[in-house]
Amino acid sequence: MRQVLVIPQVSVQNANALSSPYTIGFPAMTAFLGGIHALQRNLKIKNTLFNDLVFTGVGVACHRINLQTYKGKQDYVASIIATANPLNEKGERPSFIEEARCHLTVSLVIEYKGLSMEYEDEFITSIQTEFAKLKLASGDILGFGKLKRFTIDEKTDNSLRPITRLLMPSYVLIERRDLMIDAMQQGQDTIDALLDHLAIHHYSEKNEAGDVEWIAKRKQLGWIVPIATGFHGISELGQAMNQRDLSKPHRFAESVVTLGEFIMAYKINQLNEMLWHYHFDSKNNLYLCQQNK
Amino acid sequence: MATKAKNDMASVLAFEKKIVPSDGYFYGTTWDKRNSEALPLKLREKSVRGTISNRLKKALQDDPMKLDAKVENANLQTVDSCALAVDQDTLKLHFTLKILSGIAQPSACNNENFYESYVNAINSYINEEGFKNLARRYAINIASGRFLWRNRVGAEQIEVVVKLTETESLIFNALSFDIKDFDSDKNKSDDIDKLANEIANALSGKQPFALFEISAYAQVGQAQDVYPSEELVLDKTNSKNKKSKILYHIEEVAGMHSQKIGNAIRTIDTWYPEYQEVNIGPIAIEPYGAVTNLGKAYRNPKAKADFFTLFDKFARGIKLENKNDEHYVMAVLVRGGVFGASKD
Amino acid sequence: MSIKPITDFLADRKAKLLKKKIKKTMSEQEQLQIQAEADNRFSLGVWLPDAARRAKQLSLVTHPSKFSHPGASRDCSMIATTDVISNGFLCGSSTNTKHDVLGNAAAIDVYKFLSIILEDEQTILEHLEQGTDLIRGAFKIPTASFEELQQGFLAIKQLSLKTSSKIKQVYFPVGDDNYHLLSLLTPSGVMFSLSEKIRKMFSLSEKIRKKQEHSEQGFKELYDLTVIGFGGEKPQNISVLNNDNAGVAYLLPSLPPQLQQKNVLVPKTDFFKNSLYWKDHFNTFHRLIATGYNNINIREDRDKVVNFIISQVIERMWAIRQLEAGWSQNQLYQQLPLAQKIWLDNFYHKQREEDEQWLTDIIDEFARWFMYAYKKNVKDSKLFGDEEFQHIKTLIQANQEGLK
Repeated sequence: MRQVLVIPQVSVQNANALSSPYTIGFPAMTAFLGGIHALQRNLKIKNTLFNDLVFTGVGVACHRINLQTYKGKQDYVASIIATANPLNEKGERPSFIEEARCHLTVSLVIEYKGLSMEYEDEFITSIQTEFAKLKLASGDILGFGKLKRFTIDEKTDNSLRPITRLLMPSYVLIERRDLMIDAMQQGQDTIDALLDHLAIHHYSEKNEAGDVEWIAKRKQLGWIVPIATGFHGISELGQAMNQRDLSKPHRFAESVVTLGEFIMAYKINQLNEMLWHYHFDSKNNLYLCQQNK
Repeated sequence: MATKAKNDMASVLAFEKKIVPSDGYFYGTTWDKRNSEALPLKLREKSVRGTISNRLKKALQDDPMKLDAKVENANLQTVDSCALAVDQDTLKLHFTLKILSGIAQPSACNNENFYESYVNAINSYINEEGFKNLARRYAINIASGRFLWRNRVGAEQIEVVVKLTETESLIFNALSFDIKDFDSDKNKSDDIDKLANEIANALSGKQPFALFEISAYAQVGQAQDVYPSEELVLDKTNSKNKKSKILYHIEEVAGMHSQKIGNAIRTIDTWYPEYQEVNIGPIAIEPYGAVTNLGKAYRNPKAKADFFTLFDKFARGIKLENKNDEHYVMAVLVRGGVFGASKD
Repeated sequence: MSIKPITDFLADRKAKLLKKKIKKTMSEQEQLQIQAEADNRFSLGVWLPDAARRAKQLSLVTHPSKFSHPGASRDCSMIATTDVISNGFLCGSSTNTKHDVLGNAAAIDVYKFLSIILEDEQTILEHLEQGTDLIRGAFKIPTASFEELQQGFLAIKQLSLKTSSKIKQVYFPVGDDNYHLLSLLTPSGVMFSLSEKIRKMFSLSEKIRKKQEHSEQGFKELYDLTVIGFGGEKPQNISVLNNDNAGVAYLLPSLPPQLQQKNVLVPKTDFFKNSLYWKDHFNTFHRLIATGYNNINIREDRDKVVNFIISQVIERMWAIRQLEAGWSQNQLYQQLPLAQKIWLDNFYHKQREEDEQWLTDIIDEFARWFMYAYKKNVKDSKLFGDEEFQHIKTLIQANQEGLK
């Protein structure tokens, strides 16, 4: 039996859409896991009843997303719409890095452990308060639907149905790192492997009559996108000047990007197909959000 | 702030904003039926002919034929606009507003000593003031519909409805308030007190947060233009015929940026040095008292009236010269931002 | 010992300076003086110590700080030295890319000098790092010792371990209530080589499109790209690579499909006939069934294509369900069968759940449409018998949860 909480229809405004230095759109998986992790921490601080509570996995279903970019009628590429930064002491606009934002509505599926049955009501009321005070993916949470708890018995068929029905219509993000690994094993460079899955390939074929027929095709059926799933440490663990918290070991890191796929929620049959977890691979200095399918 | 290298300096210090508005959505309605019906307003694209205002080349000045042709083709621009329909005379602007507790908790702070003295300073402010003064000013800015910005100008009537709960709403006659002088008698009412109280309770942590649903109705006249936010597009394409004004919409509904609504609500600073002389009324709470459209910062570090100078003392438990400086410092913390001392 | 690439470099810089400074109007005397000054300035004995002194004005890094914030100190950058990782991730360590340089633009000549490749394919910088005999020989000058020069030049790779409040610092849980604090930097080399590859795709597609000729190899296109700029009017203030790329990089779209579609074809008589069209997928389907039936791989591929078409139908269904409940009550839609109204109009939300007879009807219509569409869209469609019809129907039934 597995315990699941769904926070449906979370509406987020001005979330960070620059999920990595190479991608724009849906916020990075690390941002969603980070938000739910912060929720878990805050619950524990507020109430000792939740001492043993752990959120073990998070699924994200996207109902709508509105990326703040602009593309003129004749433009091939879009530009970022900025927010006006405040002026400095001289009344001038300081230099800044372009920040990309999006508004989105998502439902969050959270698997949890370590909560006694008798505290479930407190659990729901506390989350209602604590979640409303949080930010998600650097954006403001404007509101969310009524929280729902589920018990999943994976031995019975269709035990996930009540959840996927609650999520519809939406697209759930799943990891497709397998596609990248396959391509790289065939000797492709990482960037080429990534682009190859995103591009539409136009080519022509001659049929028996000798007519040329143009075909447009993606490498893979399905809605494949590049996604940011974590970080890669690029310096030794240690101390650095100006770190925001001196009690934690610090290191420099860079984003890691791989492939993912958005699939409609009704296609999910197993809880694990949609859940993501933290994973620290100390050997390779990788800080990942990943799935166990 | 970086002048004194002390062991109670936080080189990284940041606060989340505590007043969280949503984007505002634009609807068209009529004054009489404002409470029962409203249709989303869409943006329209139109071409406008600008006038030639740049200096003409000598050759053009001397050749009237050419000049005519030039004038004909002059500055044909595409702009976005937004207006009420012919059968509508009232703009409805709708948004939600969340007020959060937790002002004593920075989102990042890397110095324990600083943190301790900071928390003490905040708690004593909350004990003494309970955010009453600031909350009243925020409440007046809500009730008076300051967040309507240009849509407020010239409106015949404006009503602001603040929904506190499913069953309880406050209704304000927005034009009856004095938005230049918060202390005016015009701004005193039980409903303002009630709204201010809700805000103060959330800010001071008596309740975890407050959430309001706000609708403003401005009777601006039939088919009149209304003014959504303008977008700041960082365009790097080389295409010609660029649109010269791009307005904000959210899935086809004209909108006001949340930042702009937030800016109006925190326009409560009447405590800056030149307040009396410059006669521009309250300005938005900003660390340097910057006013974007005037390109000027009214709280210059040289005058020692900027946030950093004041906060540096305040957070270490040094009494500020007057109460108003404390109000200002607290209002900047409510606004939120990154205030660390590290220069790089 | 003089090394040709080095003497060439200095001669070239000298020539450029002279070209700029010497004007025809000058007297011979003046010209000679300028010439003499240049000879001196670009002699090894003068230029090397000067360049070595200026090297510290630059940082040669893999992860420049300025892409996190233009106001962040150059010292907050990093030179990544970790091993290449190859487990399906794109990051700075998974692909070979260039280093970037930031700092005083007036000292860029020093970086260019250090990048000169010598006869053994190694750069001057690499020689300096190893202190090879070759470079010791080349840097033998009376005005400075080798060690002084080496130390000076290598300052280009010196960084103090320093982050900033302007750089995003994130906590990452590593188990047992422990966290690591990560300061996030951008490997600009990766970012710009991605952009370069995208630009190459653009130019190839333009070339082939223009020709309008048969091309088996064809071209690839990316859509919905966004540009991001660094440094505004002064890209050189950010980094050398940024300047080389005119301060602009491409971002790849990472978005789900849109459920709210602007131009939904609302069905007047039959959803399947009014609201759908996918020639391409039926062509793929056709190719698969035409190639041979009994091969298991082909059967799997064929089912994948069928499932894909089914999921497209379901997405279109949701697009129509986004319309305002009750839309089908309009006169316009009076010919739409009731089963489809229940299916597509949220007005019938309750009815949809109470009795599922409509679903049986829809699955049947769906399967029949599939056959019809295949025959209609594919020129020489192969036989499509009862067996196939039943198979398609089974696949649709397997997806019925999505049709609800």
